[in-house]
Amino acid sequence: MKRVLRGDGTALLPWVIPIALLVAWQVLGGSSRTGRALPAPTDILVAGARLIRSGELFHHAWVSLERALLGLALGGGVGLLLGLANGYWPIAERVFDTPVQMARNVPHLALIPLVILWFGLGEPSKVFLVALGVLFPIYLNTLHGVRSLDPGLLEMARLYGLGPLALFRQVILPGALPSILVGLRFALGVMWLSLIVAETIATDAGIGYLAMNAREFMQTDVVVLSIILYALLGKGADVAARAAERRLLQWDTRYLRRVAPAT
Amino acid sequence: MDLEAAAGELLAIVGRSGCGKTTLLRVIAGLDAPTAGELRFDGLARTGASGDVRMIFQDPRLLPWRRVTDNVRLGQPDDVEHRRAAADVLEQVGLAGRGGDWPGVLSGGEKQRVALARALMSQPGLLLLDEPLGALDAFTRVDMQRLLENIWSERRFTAVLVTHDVEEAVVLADRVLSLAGGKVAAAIDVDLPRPRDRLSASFSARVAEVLESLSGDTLAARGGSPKAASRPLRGLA
Repeated sequence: MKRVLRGDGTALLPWVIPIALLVAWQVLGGSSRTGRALPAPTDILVAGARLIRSGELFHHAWVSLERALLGLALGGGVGLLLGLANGYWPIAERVFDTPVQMARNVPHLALIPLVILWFGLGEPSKVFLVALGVLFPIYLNTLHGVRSLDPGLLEMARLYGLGPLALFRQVILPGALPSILVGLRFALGVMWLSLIVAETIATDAGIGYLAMNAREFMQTDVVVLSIILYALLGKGADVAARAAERRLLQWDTRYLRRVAPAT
Repeated sequence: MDLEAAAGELLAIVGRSGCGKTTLLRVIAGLDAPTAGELRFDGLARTGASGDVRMIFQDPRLLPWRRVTDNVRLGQPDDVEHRRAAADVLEQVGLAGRGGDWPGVLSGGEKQRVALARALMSQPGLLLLDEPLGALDAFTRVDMQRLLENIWSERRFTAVLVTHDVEEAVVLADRVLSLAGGKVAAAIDVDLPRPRDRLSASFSARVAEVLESLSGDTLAARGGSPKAASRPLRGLA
């Protein structure tokens, strides 16, 4: 914050092009020729206000968010458990890693027709696609996090009398956490992508539905609005993940050097 | 080899790299299993680690994600009594008030002090030190040696110090064992008054004795050396 308010012009340079594009967009959108293809920002804001008033915006955004978070919890949970188990017990890794890697090589979005056959057109199929998408980044990074733990720390902790549960809570999990959080950041990206595609399957709620419905009625402004909504949710999720990272990894010297010089 | 340490004794083990001194320490700690032979503590045979034995490694091995005081209290119950004890121990090692720091901001010497505090928390009967000062600079090493000696003198636990620094061994130990070829090449009593005077002739003589015991055969092959005359000094106070 302090840097922005310093008052020299260079602070605003990164914003020059975006603002210029925004202005151009407004002007082009205002003219009738291109207005149908790309409505002006003001039109989009108006459409947004309308949808907020009718309550539709929050309803659909909430439905989408629910699907995403549920898929994240399920797929992420499985990925986390598998990653921890396979990272800690070599025997588990020998048994479970190959099947997981095989599954990883199938692009999960290509499974959509199969998923529809199995789960139908309702919520479960969408949540399943999201879960499948987030499982692998979280699994891989958790596995890596546990594997790259300093064995000296484990040895020391065992010598100092830590039992298996305490070892897990105090050494393994916190030690693997930086990697797990990286996995989470990746997973969030895949989560949104999977959600967007999953919501093109027949829906009656959610941002995807909003967009498809608007397209049917040539409401381009609502279509663009839904894209913006996805982007905002995505950004929000990333901000939340970064905040969690800062809080959970405050001991990490890289963060320490940036945030607080020696007290 | 047959090794015996008296209770309350500070025993130093020196030897070239790879002579097995660290392995010996790890076997005593119960981290590695011996291929043959047995360990006895106070006359009772034992395998594996126990709560009475603590070890300090060459790298401090602090958990970076826990504050200093939580590192010191590793493996201890979480209550007011232990928190206070941790603060006391930190003060003893010269880190009073640093309990809230993250290990990431500590220097090498400070981290080893925390490791020492952590080892002392459970009032060990036996403290094993595996080249704990090897990674520190000369000045910090001298400070830490003084600290170790003070704490040991006060608490009188049995200590086994593995070091490649022969001077350090003679400064700290009651007895120095030199390891060569998987055997104890010599056991040298250091019956000098504490704190040891590094500049005294008797100190230098002990150091020379230890060094010679480590490279004994090579010297003999070269036809003896002026240091051979220091052998009779063993009886000298």
